[in-house]
Amino acid sequence: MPLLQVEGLRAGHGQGADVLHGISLTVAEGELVCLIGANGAGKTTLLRTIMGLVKPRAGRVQFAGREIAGMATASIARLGASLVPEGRGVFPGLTVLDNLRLAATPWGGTGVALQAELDRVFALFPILAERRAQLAWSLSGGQQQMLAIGRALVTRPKLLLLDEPSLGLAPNLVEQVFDTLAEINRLGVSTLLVEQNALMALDVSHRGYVLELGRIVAADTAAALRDDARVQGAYLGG
Amino acid sequence: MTQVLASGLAMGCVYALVGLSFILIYNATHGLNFAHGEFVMLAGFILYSAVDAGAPMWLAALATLGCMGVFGLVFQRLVFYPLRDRPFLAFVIATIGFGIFARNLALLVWGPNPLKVPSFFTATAVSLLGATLTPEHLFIIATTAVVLVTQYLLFFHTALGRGLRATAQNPEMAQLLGIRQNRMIAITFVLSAMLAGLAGVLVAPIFLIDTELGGAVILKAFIAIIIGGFGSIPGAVLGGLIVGLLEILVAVHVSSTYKDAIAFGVFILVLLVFPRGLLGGPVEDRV
Repeated sequence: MPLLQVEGLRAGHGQGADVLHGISLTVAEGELVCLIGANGAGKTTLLRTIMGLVKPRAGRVQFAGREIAGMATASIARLGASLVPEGRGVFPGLTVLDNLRLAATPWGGTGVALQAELDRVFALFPILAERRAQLAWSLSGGQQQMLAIGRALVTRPKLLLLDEPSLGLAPNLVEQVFDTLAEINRLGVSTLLVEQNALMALDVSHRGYVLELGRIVAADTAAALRDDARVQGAYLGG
Repeated sequence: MTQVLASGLAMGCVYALVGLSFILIYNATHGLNFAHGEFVMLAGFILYSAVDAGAPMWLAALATLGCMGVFGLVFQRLVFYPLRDRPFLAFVIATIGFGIFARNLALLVWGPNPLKVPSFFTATAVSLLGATLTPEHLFIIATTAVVLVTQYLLFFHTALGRGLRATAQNPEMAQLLGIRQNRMIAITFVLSAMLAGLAGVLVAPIFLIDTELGGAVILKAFIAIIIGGFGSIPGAVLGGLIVGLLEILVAVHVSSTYKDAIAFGVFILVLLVFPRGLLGGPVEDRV
């Protein structure tokens, strides 16, 4: 049984038409899976539906052996799924340290255990240790992305979901972020990565899915997708 | 003069408590609670009933705060929760309706005649630094100071406070981190109702309690909130103190008949110079 199993998922916003037309995908324990697709394909909606921010209209979402479709977002988070949303979602008026400490909520972490998690994040992103007392809005875009990823790690996730972590970052930072994601995955955190930057995403992933207009149109290993002529034409610039 | 300042500060503290408790709800839900004045009024009536039933003043005050906490929870459940996914105007209108309901309920239960509760103190005056002051005013100032420090510690040095601030700043992200938004909002309503109730308990002995008690206080608290910068908690406190002091200074030195008119005039002037209030800051920095 994979860690995350999505089957026939349909969802849309408000009273609007379906954005997702029956999505099925899996993420196994320890895997790094990427989801690539153009703007408006439904990538963000898919992540938000998995996390319960958008209510599914049909289909099943199973996570860590539990049916989570229809569950409250906070409960899904407490089961160990952690989304780093597009735009990062740092709390601008909280300090870097408070942003991180807050993330221990799912496992009720305090004291030594929490400090150990913070130290891990600070080891991964030393700049955050330096800026721990600063309010989060005063960080640069790249630092905010590090804070968002670091914060997701403090939740002790079984599954990390990332929505466009490269968005708005300088190219050298993008590389650094992807290297870090690969490292986090090597440490044992299963990851579902949504990216427009398909080449970068496929480089670090084990497997990938291609999403077009709310449907999965291709699913394969990352290497195979990189060599696929259709994927190359549409997403890899030739 | 010291006495005038003390009484102005005391009223300012009451406006500050009402204003900041109003803003707590606004920050957590983006809802405007137009029944907030009625929270103050209800606390006054409950205090009266407790005293009337024979409770000593301190016990009556604690019982009132307890009742207000429960009331905040019930209010959240009945008035806010069913409308939480509707446009924010639905909640605003529901609170206006609740305000009318609460005033008329109070009229039925406690009658139309203004009621009086005894003072917290037996002494009518205390000497401090050569000035003769009313103990009531000093008590209001001291209590408010303690409450503000407690609230600061709660919000900035506890996990609950972090959760409350995070929910106010970005509710969706807070949920993604496992924070139960409905619980945070319920706690906010409880805190807010208790603070508004405290304001009612503090003013009850120096005012008469009737159905207009809330209206008198909430109007000034609104001015305080807006002068201070809408959404800012330090702003609500600063604004409250300014309004309280201004009101009394104008009444003593200029005209007590026109004190409200002059207070509103100054309010308009402040907004002309600081359109977002004193501590409102530019739009993009608001969090």
